[in-house]
Amino acid sequence: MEDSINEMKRKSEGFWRSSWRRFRKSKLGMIGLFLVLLLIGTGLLAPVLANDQPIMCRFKGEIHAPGLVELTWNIPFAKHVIKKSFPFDQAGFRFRKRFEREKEEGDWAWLPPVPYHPNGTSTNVLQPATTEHFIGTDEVGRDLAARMIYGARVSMLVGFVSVGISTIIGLFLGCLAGYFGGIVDVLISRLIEIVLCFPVFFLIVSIVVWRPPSIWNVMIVIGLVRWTGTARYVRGELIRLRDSEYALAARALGASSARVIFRHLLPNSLAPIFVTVTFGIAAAIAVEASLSWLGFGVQPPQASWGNILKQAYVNIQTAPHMIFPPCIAIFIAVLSYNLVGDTLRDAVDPRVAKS
Amino acid sequence: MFEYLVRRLLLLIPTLFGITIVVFTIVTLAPGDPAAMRASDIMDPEMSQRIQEDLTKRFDLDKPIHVRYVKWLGRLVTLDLGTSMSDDNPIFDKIANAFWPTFSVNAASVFLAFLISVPIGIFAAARRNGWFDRTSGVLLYGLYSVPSYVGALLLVYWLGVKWDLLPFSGMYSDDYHTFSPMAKFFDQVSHMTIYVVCVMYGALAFYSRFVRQNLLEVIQQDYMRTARAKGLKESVVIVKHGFRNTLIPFLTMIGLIVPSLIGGSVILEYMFSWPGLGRLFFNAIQQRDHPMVMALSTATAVLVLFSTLIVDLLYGFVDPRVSHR
Repeated sequence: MEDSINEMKRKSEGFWRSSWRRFRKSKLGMIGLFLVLLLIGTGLLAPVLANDQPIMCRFKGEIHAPGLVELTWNIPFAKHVIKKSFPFDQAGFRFRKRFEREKEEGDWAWLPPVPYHPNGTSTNVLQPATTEHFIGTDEVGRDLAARMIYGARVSMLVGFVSVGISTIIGLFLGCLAGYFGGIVDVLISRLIEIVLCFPVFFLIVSIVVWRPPSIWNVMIVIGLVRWTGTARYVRGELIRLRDSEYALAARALGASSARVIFRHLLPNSLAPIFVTVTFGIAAAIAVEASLSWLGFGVQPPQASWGNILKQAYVNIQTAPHMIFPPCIAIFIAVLSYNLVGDTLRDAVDPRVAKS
Repeated sequence: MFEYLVRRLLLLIPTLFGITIVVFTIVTLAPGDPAAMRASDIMDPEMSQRIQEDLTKRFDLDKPIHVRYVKWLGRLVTLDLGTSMSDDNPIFDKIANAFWPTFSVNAASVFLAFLISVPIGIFAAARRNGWFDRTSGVLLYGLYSVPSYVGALLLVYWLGVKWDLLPFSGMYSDDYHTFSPMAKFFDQVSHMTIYVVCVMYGALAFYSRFVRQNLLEVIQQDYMRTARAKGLKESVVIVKHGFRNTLIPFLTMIGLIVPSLIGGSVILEYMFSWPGLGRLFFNAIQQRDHPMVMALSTATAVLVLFSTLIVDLLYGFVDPRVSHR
């Protein structure tokens, strides 16, 4: 008896928990999620996965951890606070050469699995896979594996930041148009309609030349162009919800417009936005690679999958080993985000869940 | 119906106006003086200076932005696209020359994609969760996640370089003019093949999923049960009663396809050295050829706008349940 009362008292399963339960059931979705986490992990851990400096070492009797220091640079502005110890902070310091020569008794080095810097050139140009370079080298003798790892970092960063920008713009304009209606709605709806008339890539290429090519420029431009879907969805949702009883109740209690929108209305329509975000990241990764290929995106020598593709196409006759790594990486990245997006769409849709 | 048409056409005016403003702002805000860029190629400094001044004057680059906008709009209304800033040829001619290469590739790939995807979609939906549905579903899902340029790179490597079966650069062979008409045709087709496949496979995946999804919805309708109860053959039920009813949502797709027919893919045309509209756009952007970029963007946007309108109107004709009032 007491048990059944406790059973009834227990809080019912929340929306996110039940969505996650449904998500977990999909094998493909979980594979996608695993690959996504793997790619994000690769991007974040790039400095200790591919680096010509050791993760940790004892050099001339002192303990250094240049790899770990670089890892902390993932945190914004940490670069200015946490610095490498001497001599690892010196430009042009070749650790492996010096270590061979000046090693003392008891010195050791824990090197990353790919012991090359992504920008470190060598005379082994366009070399296919060897034991030294796992998947070969590029046109100026840089290790391809190291460049692929750093490319993952670029792709993940571009995906998240650009979709973050576009989602914020879409939410903002969608809320304005949907909640306030009237002339604001007319103007924003027209703007959406106008932007939708342009092929996305045309628009991106036109705007991307405003500023010198760089990874930040690419992120901002993709974000500025791809917000229409979110804006349209949010507008529709808010029009549907703004006259609901609970919105009316909140307003009657004296809540401000911002509070009604952000506390009461948006949380009820947020789930499908996560689906849009996931698909958006997949698209942004593909767009970034093509922009870098065309020379509008990430600039060499910085590594990006698009830059590697470009060089692979230039050297297609002589160095076919360069083709497959970026192709496979882009395919996996796009596929895994699509898988997560599709599974998420079914998981957050209560109508699908009931059937 | 007539009233609806008038209302829609009137609504087009502010949108068209907005399109021109967006195009003009985006293009003129881009840094870099187009006159200086073109004049920089000329070695003689005095000559270079003169040409730069001449160009600045001819394209009104020294006038304030609103004056230039009004002038440009005035010419646009009379369908005068002006001349290209990079080589002084009329923009209309340049677009007309680039139109056929882009259109032929896109039309061929859309046609092939339909030809293949409709049967795939029908078979997959008819035996839902059968082996064909599952295999085709997985394969198409995979294809859908391969960006066209990635597929292009792999196809160029295998078909073009490794097995040396097909050419992958330009539209014709170098000695094209010496060929017989038949050989000319085959030469063109072989130059197009890889490109067409690259454009096609993404569309193929998209269309098949679309056909399957819509057919699955139609299959649950009452009239399908009625058709079966009448004792019709299953193939007749699926194709005549089922598939024909999916053609209405298909209209939406046609609205999406028309613009893609002329919007050349920038990256694919760049890869294949294809002399089409995408490449024209890419070159114009790089040379800061403002009139060219504006003409291409406006033309594409207007085309998109009108094809959406036509599709909306067609709904009324195709589906009597939709009424335009």
